[in-house]
Amino acid sequence: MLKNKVQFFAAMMGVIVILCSGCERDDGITDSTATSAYSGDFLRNYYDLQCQITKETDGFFPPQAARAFAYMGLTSYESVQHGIPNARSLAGQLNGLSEDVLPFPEDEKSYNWGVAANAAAAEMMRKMFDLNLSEENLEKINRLEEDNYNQVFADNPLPVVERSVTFGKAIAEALYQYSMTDGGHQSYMDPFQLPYTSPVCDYCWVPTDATVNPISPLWGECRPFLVQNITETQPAEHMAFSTNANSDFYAAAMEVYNQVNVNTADQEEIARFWADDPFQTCTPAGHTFNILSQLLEETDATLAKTAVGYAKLGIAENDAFISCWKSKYDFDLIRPISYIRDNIDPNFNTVIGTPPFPAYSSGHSCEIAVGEKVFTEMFTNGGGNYNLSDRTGLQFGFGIRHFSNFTDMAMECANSRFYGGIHYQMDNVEGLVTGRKIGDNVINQISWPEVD
Amino acid sequence: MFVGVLLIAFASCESEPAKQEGIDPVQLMADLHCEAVTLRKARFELADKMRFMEDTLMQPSTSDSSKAVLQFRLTDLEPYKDSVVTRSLDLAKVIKFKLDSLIEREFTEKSQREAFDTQLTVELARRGCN
Repeated sequence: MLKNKVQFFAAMMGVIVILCSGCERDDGITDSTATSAYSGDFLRNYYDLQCQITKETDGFFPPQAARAFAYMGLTSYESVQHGIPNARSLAGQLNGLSEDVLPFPEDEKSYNWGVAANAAAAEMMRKMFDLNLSEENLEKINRLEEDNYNQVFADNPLPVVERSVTFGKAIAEALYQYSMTDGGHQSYMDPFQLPYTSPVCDYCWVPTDATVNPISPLWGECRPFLVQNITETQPAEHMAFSTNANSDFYAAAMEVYNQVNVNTADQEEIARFWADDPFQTCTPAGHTFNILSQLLEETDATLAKTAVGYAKLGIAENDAFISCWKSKYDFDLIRPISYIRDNIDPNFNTVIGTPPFPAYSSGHSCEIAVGEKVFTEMFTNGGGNYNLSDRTGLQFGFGIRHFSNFTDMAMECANSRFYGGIHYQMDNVEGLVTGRKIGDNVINQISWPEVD
Repeated sequence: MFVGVLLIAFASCESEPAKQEGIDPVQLMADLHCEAVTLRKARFELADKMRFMEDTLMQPSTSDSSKAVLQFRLTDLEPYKDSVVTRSLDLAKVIKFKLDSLIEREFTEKSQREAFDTQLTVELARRGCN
């Protein structure tokens, strides 16, 4: 009898050892359900809310918004990556984020990675909007955190929940500390980075509306997540400025002028669709994050894939705006409307308002190109083909736009700035080139886990 | 006059005819989307109006008296801007909630969503909501 008990016990221990060895990672973390076992649905809700709050919070222009989305993405990933096989922390891979700065889960303790991600995302969102976060929006974040917990994770053992929440919040805090030194900390309080004096020259940017100061002229000095995303992506000098009617530059401006005058109704719609909205945009980066959320939902993405997706896009978007803003202020190129009114037609008007910063290169083109690359890598076999019905504008009275691949999507976004009369084509072409390089860097220069 | 146009636009959006459950999803979304289109047009018209005024304000040739009038009119438009934005955001939340519910409960397959997109596009074109 005793012998049978010993044999049974030994057999059970063997089974347990085999089971544990199947889920053990090099870092010694055991017994936590894999991140891929959770749905990513609850995490997407944070990005929907982030878009809403971006619209309603002062100081969140495109660079600031992209940065906030980026740190949300980093936080989402780091809060769950210990539950993804073969995942590596971004610490040690990103510029300025050393390997020892992020908290580590306790050895031999169980974690619920969904609970950790929920706590981490809520904490980082509060920190990203911080000083300008309204009471109402703070309450929305708190409620989302609580609702997610009650609806998805309430059945978990309390010690596991507490440990996971503590870990998630510690990740958010550590990444927030990292964010404080990147040059964009609380930049929403001073998005125009005043005092700043715009250069004065023939080809230099001049105000195009009542906003006399350009947005974030020093943003190009912010710390990128990958250094090469700035050093290897700056466009060549734009074509030589000239007011001579026979010059290439004059022809480029005339091209904009002619396009605006022959725009079809569909082209005007495209210009407005990608401009998002005059008063309530969550910025171009927000639009691209909305598309990512739709893609994740359509593909029933796990929490692992969801977190990886937001991290990839966040890193790429952040660096896209730094790179693009650097070229904008290095070249400080005059906008088409200013040139055309001075040299071609004083009564020229654009289809949409010209944003208050220099032309070269196009921020929309750069940022959508990183989306093109990330989406192609994550949702296609590499060819970029995907039947996308972009419904993200439906709620604001825009139609559904259909694309058969992500390159078409990016091209239409880039061209929308030309149809709108606010960018020369060279701005868009170079913006796409820059964004695609950044997208490739983020995909290939960072070690990412395989996620389904 | 512009304000009058805006008020008429708002009035046409007052009703929320299709919030009842059980209604054809295409008709429901078309009703809501048509309201959203009206508000979007109001937002863009208002934005254009404001930027054209700002344009004129920036012109050196604009007289001081004209600038004062324009500045007053611009300030006067701010409450309408706030109103149209608030209404748009409120409606957007309703549409997003409905759309998310439809996708989650009725159109779980991608092919179903594509069919829905197509039907909705046709219905919106039929109504002239685009």
